[in-house]
Amino acid sequence: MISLVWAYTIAVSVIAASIVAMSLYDVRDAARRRRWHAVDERIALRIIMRTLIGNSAQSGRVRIPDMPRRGLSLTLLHLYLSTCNVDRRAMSLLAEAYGAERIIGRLSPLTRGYRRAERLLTLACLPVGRRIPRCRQLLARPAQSGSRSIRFYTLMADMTRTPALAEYLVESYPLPLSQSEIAQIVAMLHRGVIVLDYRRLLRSANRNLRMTGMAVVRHFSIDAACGALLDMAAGDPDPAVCREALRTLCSTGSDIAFAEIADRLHAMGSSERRRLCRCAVVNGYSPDTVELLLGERERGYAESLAESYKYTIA
Amino acid sequence: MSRILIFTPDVAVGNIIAAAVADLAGEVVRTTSACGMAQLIDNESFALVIIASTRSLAIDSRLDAVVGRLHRCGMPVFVILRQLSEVRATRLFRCGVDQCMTFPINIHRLRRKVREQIVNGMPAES
Repeated sequence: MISLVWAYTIAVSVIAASIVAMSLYDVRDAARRRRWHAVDERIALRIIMRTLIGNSAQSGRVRIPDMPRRGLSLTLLHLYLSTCNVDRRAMSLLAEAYGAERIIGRLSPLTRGYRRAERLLTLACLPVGRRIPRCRQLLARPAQSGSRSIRFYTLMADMTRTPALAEYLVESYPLPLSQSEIAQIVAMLHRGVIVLDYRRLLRSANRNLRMTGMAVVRHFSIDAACGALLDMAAGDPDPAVCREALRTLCSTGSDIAFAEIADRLHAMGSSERRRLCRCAVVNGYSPDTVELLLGERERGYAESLAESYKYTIA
Repeated sequence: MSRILIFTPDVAVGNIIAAAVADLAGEVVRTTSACGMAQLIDNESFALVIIASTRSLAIDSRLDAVVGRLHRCGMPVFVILRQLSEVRATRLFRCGVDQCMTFPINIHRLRRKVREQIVNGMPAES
């Protein structure tokens, strides 16, 4: 009796192991076939370009490059980050045809590190992100990760999903935004993903919003904001905001009212004065203007910068 | 048969630009080194040269010399730079660059300018 039980157990184990081995073999074989038939990035980009440039998007017919999930995800990400004014409808068709959830990949609570950051960035860049219910649920949780990249890409994904709340999301972001993060937000504005009013941003009491507003003014060279920038440079309690306001004023290339910011300039340390001097020279201000702005001490430095091979004043 | 030369240290960016203009030219040649580009322009002729980089072009003097040589050979040059590089762009215009653009590039605008340059053989107006 016992030997019968043992024989039965062994037979069932052998059959189960065979089934598992055959399944694994099928999966491996399918993966190998996918790799053989998969196209590389250059050919995939040509296929994608035909969709973005041609008329196939209007008829709703798209051709999907045969690529592994991660390869296609990285290709679309590079394309999105290097270009602007890409046909969002065509990108939506591409993502939906391949499967948006497949492109983004697993975004479970257990996904950590660079994988989570990369998938959040892909979610922020693809136009179909807002229609993925699983990601909506995940983004609804507060960003508890210690990684700055993950927290910021969560913010970007949130802004893509709800562009009308972009200003509120930036205001409620708990950390001070760095220059590169602000540049990425301005890039989203440039691509038309979000809409921000620079006047509201400059008037805001929130530091992140003011810094973003100044970045918008710099990016689009908005001369009309010079008055608001002068007020910020003269009277903002945050020294970093004052420095940024002065830098933005220099980037507009407009006349600077020295009398209003004289006190602030006199209170600056030598390293800050040099940094402002470099910024003024790079933006084409003459050494005479720099002398009026920062005093005679910085004039020699400005002249040496203007004459060096590093900068050319047109 | 018109040929386009693309010089960029970034492989991903080079792939994107090559895919964008591939159907406008007979052949697209890519190189990632300044020495390779200098060798190619010495030995061959191109209808258009596109120089692109998302990083700061640290080889300023060499690039200026190459752009100047291309201009003297009559090969049109398009340069795609990082944003807020106006001083750099001004310097390159003085060296003879025909068109300066910044990242992120507008694919349709790039194609229009390349098509006008190759078909009409004259610098495209912005």
